[in-house]
Amino acid sequence: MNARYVPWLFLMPAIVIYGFFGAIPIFQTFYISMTDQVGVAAPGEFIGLNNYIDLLSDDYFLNSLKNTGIWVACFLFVPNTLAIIIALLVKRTFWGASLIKTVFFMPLALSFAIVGVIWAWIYEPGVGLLDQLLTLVGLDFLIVEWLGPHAGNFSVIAAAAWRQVAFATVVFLAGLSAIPQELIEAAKVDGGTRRQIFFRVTLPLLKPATTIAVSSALIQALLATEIVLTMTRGGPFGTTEVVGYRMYMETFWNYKFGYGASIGVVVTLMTATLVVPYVRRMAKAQEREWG
Amino acid sequence: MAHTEINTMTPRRDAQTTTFFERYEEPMARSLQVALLLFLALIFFLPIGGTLLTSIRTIPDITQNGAWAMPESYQWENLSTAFFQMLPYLKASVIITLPSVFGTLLVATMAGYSLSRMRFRGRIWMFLIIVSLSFVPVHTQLIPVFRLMSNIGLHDTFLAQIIVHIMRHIPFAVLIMTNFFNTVPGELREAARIDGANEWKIFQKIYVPVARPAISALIVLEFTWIWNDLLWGLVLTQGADRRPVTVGILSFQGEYEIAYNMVASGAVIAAIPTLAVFLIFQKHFIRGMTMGSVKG
Amino acid sequence: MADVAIKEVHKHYGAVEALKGIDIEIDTGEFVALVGPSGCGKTTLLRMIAGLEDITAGDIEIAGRVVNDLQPKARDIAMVFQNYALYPHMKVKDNMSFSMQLAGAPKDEIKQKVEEAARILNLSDYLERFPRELSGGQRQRVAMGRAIVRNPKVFLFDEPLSNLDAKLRVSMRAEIKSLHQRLGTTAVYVTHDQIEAMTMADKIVVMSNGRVEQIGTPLELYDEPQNLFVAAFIGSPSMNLLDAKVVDGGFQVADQPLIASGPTDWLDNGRDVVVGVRPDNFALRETGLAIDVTVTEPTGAETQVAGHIAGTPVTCLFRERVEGRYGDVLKVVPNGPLHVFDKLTGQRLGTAQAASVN
Repeated sequence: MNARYVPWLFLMPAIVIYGFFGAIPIFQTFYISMTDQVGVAAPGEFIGLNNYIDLLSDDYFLNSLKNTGIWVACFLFVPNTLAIIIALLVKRTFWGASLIKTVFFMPLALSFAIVGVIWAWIYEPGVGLLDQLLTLVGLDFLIVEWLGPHAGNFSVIAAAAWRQVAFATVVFLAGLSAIPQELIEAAKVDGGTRRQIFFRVTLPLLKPATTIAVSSALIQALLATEIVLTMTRGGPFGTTEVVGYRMYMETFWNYKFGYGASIGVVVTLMTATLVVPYVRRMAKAQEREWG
Repeated sequence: MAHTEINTMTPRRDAQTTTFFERYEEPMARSLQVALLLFLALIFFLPIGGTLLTSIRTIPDITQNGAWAMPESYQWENLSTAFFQMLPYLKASVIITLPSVFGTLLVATMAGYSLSRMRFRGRIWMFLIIVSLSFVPVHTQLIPVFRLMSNIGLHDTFLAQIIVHIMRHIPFAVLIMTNFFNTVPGELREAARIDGANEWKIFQKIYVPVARPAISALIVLEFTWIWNDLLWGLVLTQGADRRPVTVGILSFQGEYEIAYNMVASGAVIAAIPTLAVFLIFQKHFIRGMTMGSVKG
Repeated sequence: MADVAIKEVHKHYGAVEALKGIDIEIDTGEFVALVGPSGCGKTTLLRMIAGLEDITAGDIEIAGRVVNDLQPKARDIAMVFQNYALYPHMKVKDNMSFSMQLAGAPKDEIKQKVEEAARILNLSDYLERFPRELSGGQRQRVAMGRAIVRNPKVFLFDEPLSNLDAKLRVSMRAEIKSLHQRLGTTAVYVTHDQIEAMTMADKIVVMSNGRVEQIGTPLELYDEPQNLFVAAFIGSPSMNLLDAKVVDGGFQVADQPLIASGPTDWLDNGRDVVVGVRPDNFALRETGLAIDVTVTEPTGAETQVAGHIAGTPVTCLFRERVEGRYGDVLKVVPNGPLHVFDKLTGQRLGTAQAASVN
């Protein structure tokens, strides 16, 4: 009954804006990554896969790749485990729950720029909040050079994890409240212990939430750029560099656009491997709904 | 009748079972849990609490008494100094963020309505493309967009940042709006058609007002995200006067270096807008986040 | 004159044929119920009249004008939806007058029409409320008010009572019926509930599988169902259908005693038929058809007995109080009309009168 073009009229602004400023650039990035373009002034020459071959022997890049790997490994478990514990605890609290939730959610409102600035100062040797706190409680033997060459990468990860926990807590709390209380009660009546109920009823039912929390954590870990930029600028001696940051540096500091683009493509392909299964499930769900 | 009575009785008995467990078997575990939760909350709050505390202290106070002592005196000027120094950046952030949020919402609401409510060929594909695009990393677009903006003379303008933010946020917002409109009964649209409304009127008079919860959630989310962006603000600008507050805080940090009270003040000033929006509209914010994630 | 004429209408969804040639004429002022099990195509047909679905083939006329290609708003119809479809962000008065506002009607005319409709529907005190502040029955009335305000040629109802509880459904049934009698507007009413159709409609269209099974007044359908489908669908509890052979003097069901009847000379002896007996057309006797009782359900005024006759499930309704438990055997004889259907085609052959046995 609709004129055939009406749906497309409603979609038009989105398609035009995204197409011109978003979709075309995606393809261009792939092309630029196969050129030796430097700066914006002149297009580079086509050099095939040379940039990618160079990446394989680029110690800076390989180092950043290693650091990104550490990010992914840490983000996979740490923030999500913490968040699920927090969510379970908050769910069972009856007083002050909303205030406590607010405390846990608040980091979500902060930009990575601010998180970076705050945490850079927290990690400041001697006078920083962390050293002072450890001294205060008598744990000063734990103090290391937080943003030094050894601990640096982990310290940056911890700062970002602070924010990621907030996100995952939101997701898990929503997931928990979507589980009908009756199911938990039925499991209790069936004689389940609390441990059994958690691992055999609650956790399986949290699967949708877990999927989201995990994939979000992985993507955040892969793309982490801004927080490195604000906390350490990759230093000291590149020990906290990650691939996203490497791409930014090669492009906007060294002006090696072609080379930077090839790192961008690598980041994109890594993300895609994570996202494809998610999109595929979404496709199935949507097809069920729309027939 | 008898059935309803039975149904209302059953949960009451279950509730008693629960309180029985809680009353006699778990008081120890329970207080341990509360203690653990409060401890975690405290740890979690320390970064923000410490920043607030430091922002109003004097440097001698900090160096002599340590970071965690209560302030000897309150130096509120730190905050006002930081505020006035950040003012140009704050203004720029407002000029960039508000139109970006409005534009994203407008474009995404229309697209979501179309995807959700109309049957047309290619709808599923369109939807999947949009889902996929919501995951495209900024690194995939940074270079060509930078080049494009330079070539068409939009480098170092507010407009360039606004356009880019709208572009970047369209996929997610369309996703949210589509999912929301999927939950609105299709009968409404049919009733409106019988009442004589054309497609635009149905959209404008029925669906936009009905979508208020989703729209307000999106406004809060997008405001926070766009305000908090750093990378585009850094890449697409040159001078201080087009740079958002996220970039501003970095130069602030560089300027004061070890004047921790001023750095903290700068962070507080830069954080206040999104923090305030978050605290006031927390419900919308959380709803938006969960709407974006309930699917799949 | 026919107010709504449906001529050879087909509907295809891809390869699926939802409607297979529908012909219905609806006279001015008539209240017509489209009834049938879910999936029979009744709602599709209604939505095609409304203009919400395309017509694959055939014509639909409203007031003598082919409306196939007209937009819903140009068809001079109003529709009451199953879930009411009230605009949740509009007050009751705005819900009712949305169509007039869109058409740019003057303010005082809108006000007058809305108030008039509200008075008819007892909604005058609720005009300033939002739908969420109303009860189910009130929402239902607002949905009707929205239709009334438009003063259309035809009202379309899509299972409007299916979301109400049983008690409210009965009272709304009466309300809609009296409203129709007052306004005299042609109405097409879709329901899966044959009681609703029987009590409200001037004319019932029984549909199944995209076809019209029978069109007639409620009592015509009850007294002379044209085929087994209608026989089983109309009436509650539904008609008992027993496989039988035509013999001299009546019908033979398996090894049961003969069902004696009036003359059956219009039927060939030995023919395989299905004999239909309404549940209330049985009487308890010393001898007769044996019912293996499954359960008896006394309701005070009546007793309903469910069981089997020669393996076929049956239900009987007795005015007297009957004792019977699982495993008991009761003897009954039919004492009313015997509806005779062809075993193969399921078509009605005629009615025989059960010989009253004393």
